[in-house]
Amino acid sequence: MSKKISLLVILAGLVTAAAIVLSIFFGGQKNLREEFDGDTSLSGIIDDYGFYDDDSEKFAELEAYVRDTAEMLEMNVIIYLSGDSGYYRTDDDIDDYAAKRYDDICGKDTDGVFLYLDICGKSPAYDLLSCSGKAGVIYGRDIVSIVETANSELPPSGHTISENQLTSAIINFCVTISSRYENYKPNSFRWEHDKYTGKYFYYKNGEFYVTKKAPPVLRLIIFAIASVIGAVIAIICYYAIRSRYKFKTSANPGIYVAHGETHFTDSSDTFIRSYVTKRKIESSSSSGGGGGGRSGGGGHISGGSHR
Amino acid sequence: MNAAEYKCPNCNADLKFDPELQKLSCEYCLSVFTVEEIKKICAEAENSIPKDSMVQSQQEFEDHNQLYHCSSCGADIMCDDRQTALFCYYCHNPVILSGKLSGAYKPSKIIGFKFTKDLAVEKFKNWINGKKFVPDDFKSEQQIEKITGLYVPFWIADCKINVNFSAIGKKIRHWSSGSYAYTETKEFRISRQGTVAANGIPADGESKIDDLLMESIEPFDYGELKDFSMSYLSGFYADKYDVDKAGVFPRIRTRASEASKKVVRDSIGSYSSLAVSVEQYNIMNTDWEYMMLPVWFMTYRYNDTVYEFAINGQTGKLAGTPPLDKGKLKSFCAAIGIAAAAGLYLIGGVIF
Ligand SMILES: [Zn+2]
Ligand SMILES: [Zn+2]
Repeated sequence: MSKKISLLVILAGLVTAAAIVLSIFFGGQKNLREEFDGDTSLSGIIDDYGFYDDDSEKFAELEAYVRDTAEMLEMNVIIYLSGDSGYYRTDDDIDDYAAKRYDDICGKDTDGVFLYLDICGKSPAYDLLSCSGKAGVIYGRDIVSIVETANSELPPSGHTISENQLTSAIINFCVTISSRYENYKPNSFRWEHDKYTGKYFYYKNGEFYVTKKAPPVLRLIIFAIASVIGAVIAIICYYAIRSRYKFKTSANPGIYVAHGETHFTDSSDTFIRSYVTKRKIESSSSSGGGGGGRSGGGGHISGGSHR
Repeated sequence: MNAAEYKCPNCNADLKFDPELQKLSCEYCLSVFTVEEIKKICAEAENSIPKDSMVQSQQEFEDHNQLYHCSSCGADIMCDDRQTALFCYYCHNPVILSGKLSGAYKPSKIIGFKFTKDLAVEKFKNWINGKKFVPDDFKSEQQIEKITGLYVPFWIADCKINVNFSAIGKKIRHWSSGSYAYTETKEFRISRQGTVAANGIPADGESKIDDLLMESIEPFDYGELKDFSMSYLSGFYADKYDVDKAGVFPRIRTRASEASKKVVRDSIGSYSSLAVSVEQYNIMNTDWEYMMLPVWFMTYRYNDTVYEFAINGQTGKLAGTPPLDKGKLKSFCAAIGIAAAAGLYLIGGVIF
């Protein structure tokens, strides 16, 4: 009878586990990804600063280069040159601004990058790369180093930027993202997560996914951890109940002491010595910080670097 | 000198002189005495009560008991001669009449059953109802029918213990002043020397019954002790002891030492730490009484293990380890584990 029950329980456990594993790999996940439609007209350079106002030929040439890069990478590539309005933006504001501006131009969860070059003259300057869609997974791990290859061409903040410096920063950026793209191999054990929107970006079976739910690998890890904790709980439960099945305890021998018949010929507590030690009191303190965020937009993976 | 003229005050065996220790030692119960100690103890024992009507009551015992033997587990069961024992209280196999017990086995005292069989059965049922993981037939009426009223042979010891204890105790006080923390340590030399008495320590003389089980249903109220009479046995079984005084003495010694230790430790006030240098408890003298104490007893055989249960026939205190249906328990725990894992997975899915 109890054998039947244990078989049933084990069977139920196996079925549950199998169902979870199957749902992880084949369960319906709404892919929020917006595939790139080949339109490179959204890509280009946004010159809020007016840096190239006097050299529209150079600007057109650069923008064409950026659009070529976009065509090759099959994603939007936008380079933003901050103007006066950027002067009072904090680092977080820049992060937010880049994400929103990108979504406005190209749409939520489309594939693309948005490079914010902080050239309005504030110090320190903060350059940032915001990645959307598959760009998040491809560049996510190296995002800061990509920003650095671009802004290493620029002088330290406070110095005047020459046209040559800015041009080579943009070209360098395009070259870097192109070569990283070519060298990228989809890996199902890697995913990126935007903690503001809760979206995950990952490749599964060679296909790119943007989902609200965790990627299969992460869910498998959660499942494994949950199973281990469940097993530990079951084992603890087993030993706890088993130990409660003992109802034998030795009687306290103190109950047999004949209290009137205790005779101490010597019962003394003699003071021997005393000593005092002193120690300096150490003091310590600590402090913490907070943060904020955006929500409702597309998912972005971003990173930046100060100049 | 010839040491054999002295008897061990704890188990009554002959004492032998140990030249190495320069002391008298008992090879049965391992007690050790100096010659002076023994002389003193013997002198005190001289004026103890002479036995008068002993012989007559022993004769009555011999005439009216019947001894049955279980060839299956070796138990020797004694009954009043007006009833017949049919089954062994321990292994539930048929028993055969094997004769009569000699007067030497007559207990001096007895406590009669006070907790009735109906109460014992009810107590057992209530207790077992809360246990979900016992085998089903353990709860059956057939099993509960096996509860047997049994007089268990007990050796009851009154011990005099010599105490020798010394230790260093520390009292620690902390305070702070300005930016300094101070620690004051006061040291005391603690000494306790003297004698402690532990009276009425019981030890059952039946090797088959688990010692801890019998300790678990203690204490018995010796205030209700009566002189032994065969009439107490009618309707019950009694057991013939197979462990003598010397055999139970190690258990008595342990418990007497623990009792003395408690007296000593309780007499010591609160110290932050105690470093004990000497702690000796030597039993100097033991007075024995052989008696029968009432126990509702039941055994259950499961997976080749015999599970024993006992209810104090005087107070109703219950003890025993119920058989555990590991299959039932494992399924239950596995179900909990699976539920927990599934719950955690769902929570994990919400968080991530
Ligand atoms: Zn002895
Ligand atoms: Zn038997």
